[in-house]
Amino acid sequence: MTLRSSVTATVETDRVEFEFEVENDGDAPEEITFRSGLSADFAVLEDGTEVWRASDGQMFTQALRTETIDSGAVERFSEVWDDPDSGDYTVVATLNATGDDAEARTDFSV
Amino acid sequence: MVLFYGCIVTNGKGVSRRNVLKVAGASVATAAGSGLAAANPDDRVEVNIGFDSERGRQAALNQADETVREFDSIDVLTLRLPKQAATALENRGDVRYVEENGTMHALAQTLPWGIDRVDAEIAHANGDTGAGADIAIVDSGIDADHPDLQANLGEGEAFTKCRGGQCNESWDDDNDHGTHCAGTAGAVDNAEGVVGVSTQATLHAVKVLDKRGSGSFSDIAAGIEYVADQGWDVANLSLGASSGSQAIEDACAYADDRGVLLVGAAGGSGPCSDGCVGYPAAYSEVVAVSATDESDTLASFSSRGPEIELAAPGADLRTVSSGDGCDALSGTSYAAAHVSGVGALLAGEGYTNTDARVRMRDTATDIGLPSDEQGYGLVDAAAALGVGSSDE
Repeated sequence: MTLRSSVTATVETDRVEFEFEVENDGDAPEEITFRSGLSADFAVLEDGTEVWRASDGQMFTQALRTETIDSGAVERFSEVWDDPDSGDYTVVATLNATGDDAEARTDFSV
Repeated sequence: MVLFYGCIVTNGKGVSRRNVLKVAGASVATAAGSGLAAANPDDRVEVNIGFDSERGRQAALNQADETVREFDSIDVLTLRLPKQAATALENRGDVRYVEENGTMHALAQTLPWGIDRVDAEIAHANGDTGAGADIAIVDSGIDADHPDLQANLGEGEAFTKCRGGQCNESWDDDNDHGTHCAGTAGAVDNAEGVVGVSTQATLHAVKVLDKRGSGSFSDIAAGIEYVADQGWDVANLSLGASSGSQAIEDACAYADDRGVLLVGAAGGSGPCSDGCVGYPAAYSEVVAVSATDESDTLASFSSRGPEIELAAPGADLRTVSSGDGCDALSGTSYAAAHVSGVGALLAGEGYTNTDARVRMRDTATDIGLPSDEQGYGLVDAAAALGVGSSDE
C-alpha cells in the first residue's frame, strides 16, 4: 500500500467540518476494500476520551465494496460535527477497509 | 454457456438473422460484438464467410490476414481481415455471405455455488420452494423491475428516501445491496439469472438504508416493527454496526414475540481474536450468521464470536444485480440471506420462527470450524426439510 492520508478540521460558528483525504502516491492503482457501507469514520477525542463519533446512531450494509484509487489520485471523505461545545479536541479519521488501516489525526479548538 | 453467433451484415443472398438464431439454439440470447457497419474500413474484423465455389474460397483466403478456421464439411471459412476486404468479398457472386463472428451468451439460469452448498436445489427438486412464506428484506430496498425477482415481489415500505432516477417505488433500491440480498434469499426459478435459496417465497422490500448503505437506528427499528406488524415470517437483517441500539433491540424482541424469524449478518470485522460480532446479529433474538468461502473455511473478513449461530456461504458469490447481469459479491450480508432463504423454506412448510430456528441448528452441517466461527454449523436446506442430500 502506498496510500497517504491526512485530515483537516474546519471550525465554523455552529459546526466543525472534517475532510479526510486518502492519496495514492504510488505508481500503480491501489484497490481499497471497504468492510461495510461505512467507508470512513471520524472520532473526536477530548483529553483522550471519545466525545463524538460520526457513525454513531447508524447501521450499515454488511458487504464488501471495492474502489480503485489511481496513481496520484485522491479520495475524499467528509463529515460534519454539529453544535460542538467549546474545548480542545483531536479528530481521528480512519478508513473502514481490510488490509492497511489508513488513519490520520489532527488537533483543533472550538 | 457461450454459443457462436453471427451478426448478418449486408449480403442479401445468404441466411437471414432469424435462421442464424435458429441454428444457435432456441433460447433467448443477447449478442456481444458489433456488426461490420460499426468498424472503420482499416479495422481488422473476424468474419465467417460462406462461399459457393473454389474460386470464391480462394478469393477469400487471398484477403485473409489470418485463417481462424477452415470448415471440413460446410463451405465456410472463419478469417481475420480488414473490414474493407470483407466488404469487397460481400459483393462477389461466389460468396454467399460475410458475417461478423461474435459470441452469444444465452440467458441460461445459473446455480450459484452458495445455493448448491446449502443444498437448496435438492429442496427445490423435492417441491420445497417457500411458497406461502414471506421474507422481509430490511435493507436498501429491492429493484422493483428486476426480471429475476419480479414474480416474487410483494409489498414494500420505505422508512428512508430512495434517491435517483431508478426510484420507481418509494422502496426501490438506490444502493443495490438489498436487491443482491433479495436475489440470494429468493430469486425466481426461471430461465435466466440465478436461482435463490427459496424460489417462491414473497419478497417484501422494507427500505431502511439509504443510497450510501447506511440507516439510522430509529428507521431500522421502525422497519423491524413494521415487519412484525405485517405478520411476515422472516426478517433478513444484512446490516449492522459494532455498537448496538436499545430501540433496535426492543424492535427485535417485539418481532421475535410476534413470530418473525430474525436473521442477522455477523459483520465484516474479521479477522478478530476476541469476537467481533456486530449488532443486531449479536442480540439473542437474532440468528447471527458468519460467512464461509467455497472451501468451507471462514471468510477472512467475517466476524466471529460466541454469538455465531450458523455459517453460510458469503464469499465470491453470484446473485442478481440491479441491472440484468450477475455480479460476484462477498459479505456476511449474503451469508445471512442464505439463512433467511432456508427460514422461508421452513416457514413454507408450516414451521414457526422458534421451530425453524431450532431446526436449522439441529440439521446444520458440521464443517469442522470452531464454534465461534460456524456456530452449530453450515446451514443445510435439504437436511432442515428432511430431504436426503448426497453431497454433505
